[in-house]
Amino acid sequence: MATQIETAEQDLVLTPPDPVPVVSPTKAAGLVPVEDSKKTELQTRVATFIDDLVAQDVNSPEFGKRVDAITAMGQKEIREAAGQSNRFLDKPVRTLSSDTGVGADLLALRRTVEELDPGRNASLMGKKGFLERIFGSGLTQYFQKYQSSQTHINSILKSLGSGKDELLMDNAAIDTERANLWTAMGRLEQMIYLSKEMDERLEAKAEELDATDPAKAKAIRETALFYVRQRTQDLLTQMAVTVQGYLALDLVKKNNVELVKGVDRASTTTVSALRTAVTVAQALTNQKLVLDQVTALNTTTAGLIDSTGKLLKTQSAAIHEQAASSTIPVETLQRAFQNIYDTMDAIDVFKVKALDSMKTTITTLSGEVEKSKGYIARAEGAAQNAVSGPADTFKLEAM
Amino acid sequence: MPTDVDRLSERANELIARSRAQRPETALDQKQRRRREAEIGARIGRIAAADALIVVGAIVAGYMSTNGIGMGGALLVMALLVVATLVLAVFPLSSPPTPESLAEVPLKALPLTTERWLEAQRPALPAPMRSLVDSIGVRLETLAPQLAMLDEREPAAFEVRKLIGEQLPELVKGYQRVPEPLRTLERNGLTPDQQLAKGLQTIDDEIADMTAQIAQGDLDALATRGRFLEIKYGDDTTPRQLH
Repeated sequence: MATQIETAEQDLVLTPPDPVPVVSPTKAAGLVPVEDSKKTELQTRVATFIDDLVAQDVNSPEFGKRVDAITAMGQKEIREAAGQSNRFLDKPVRTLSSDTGVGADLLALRRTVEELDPGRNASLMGKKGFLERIFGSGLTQYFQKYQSSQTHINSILKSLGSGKDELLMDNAAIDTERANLWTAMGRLEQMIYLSKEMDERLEAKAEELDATDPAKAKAIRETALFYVRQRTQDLLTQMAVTVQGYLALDLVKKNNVELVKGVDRASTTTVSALRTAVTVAQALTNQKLVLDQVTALNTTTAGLIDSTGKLLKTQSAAIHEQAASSTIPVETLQRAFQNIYDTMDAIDVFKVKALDSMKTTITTLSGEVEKSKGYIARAEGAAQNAVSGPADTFKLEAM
Repeated sequence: MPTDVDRLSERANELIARSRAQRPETALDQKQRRRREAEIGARIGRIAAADALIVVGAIVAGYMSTNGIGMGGALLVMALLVVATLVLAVFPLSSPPTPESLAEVPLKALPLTTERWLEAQRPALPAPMRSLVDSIGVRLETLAPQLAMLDEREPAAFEVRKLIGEQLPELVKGYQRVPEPLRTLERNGLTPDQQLAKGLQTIDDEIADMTAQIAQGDLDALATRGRFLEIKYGDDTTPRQLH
């Protein structure tokens, strides 16, 4: 009989996601595709810019202004992306700490459930005098415990429900942030494309000018091309950090999804154990154990726990049948409690592993963000220089 | 006797008036209409208050003295009523704020104060700049309710104060200090007029950017709420893994 319940209860597997590895700048580009139409548009922009640059006298302020535009190139995009990849660093740890929210609720649930555990109430399970005790007052007292703790369990389950809502809300926020990051990465990608294109064309132009105007070729190589390469590197580094942040957010989200599964399962198994107790009490003592709070919960949980609601329905029917007809109803009850423990153990194991991945991820990411701060400062400096500099005609920006 | 030119210009004026009447109301028109209505309302209110005060004063004076206020008194009251009404109707509501006072205005009131100040500078600026000034005014009005929610100590608040409380007045003041004949003379490729136009344009864009930035949090919150509803009550039974 017990094995049947085991099959009804699918094994709960909570998989902690792997930590996010360091993304190298060389591999960062190319994650978000740039549309062909945009590529053409960017190519024209680069071509116009370079023609304009070459037409200027290398010592004129106009030439200098255009070089300033290069040093500030992508500064807006970098600032945007940097702001967003830093923001989530203070996000992830909250949900996994056990002192508050879901962790604390699960702990409280465990304590309450342990008090009701038929295994702990050993007098029930003793081999000698089992029958006497069954029909004696011990068993009735035992089932009375359910009545006294039902309000408590009910409030814990409700609190778990709102904890689950918080996790879902966190995931919704992560979805929004990831959507924002995706846009930011798209713009960075465009800037990377633009600066690489600029690099190639400037190089070609300098070679072309070597024969006719070596001084200009030299100026182009030493100022424009130099800054373009520096900016390409900055953009690629920021892209790497952003991609890493994007992946790290996914890690947090997966953790939350697993935790939600765990919370759902913990609520389901608890409700199911209480129902089993009602049925077992009926079978053993011939008395009706009234758990109004739990009955009320049944109706609400079916709605609350969407994913496991179906499971609960089919499973409880099976348990009901078993408990009523079984010759060993106490074992059935014991099994129902074991299900709760299994769920909670699975969550605990998950939490330890997940925290580990999360720590690794945060450490790598903080390191990368720290490294990237250097060039963000450089970009800001360039922007301050350029306040009076670049006119709208040669603004180098993503679309 | 009206000449052909007069008739022609009259017809042109009619045409302009007609096309103006047909044109849909823009944000700027709305703003101006609102301001006009508010100003008229404020003036009527002030006049009514002053007149009521005078009448009440006259009644009280009539009761207090044994003979009433007499014919001379009645004439005096009437004269007072006329003078008060005229004075309050003609003179401006309040003097426009000075650039120096902008630094002390609380952040919430800053956009509207700056707008009033800018409005006062409008006649002194060359005609092409006026549309820019109007555009900045409209943007400031959008910004005002946003700033009401913003904490004064936040970096964003500091940036806003710097831009519309310092940079904008400094730019306009700097331009006004340039003697009038020099304003249209080219210097290093740009005339002061053009420089002012460029500066105003940059400020205009920057205010729009700030509005977008401050709104970012609200936009995100709205998107998150929508996504949450989708995850929790949507058709699919398990939370989706898609981004």
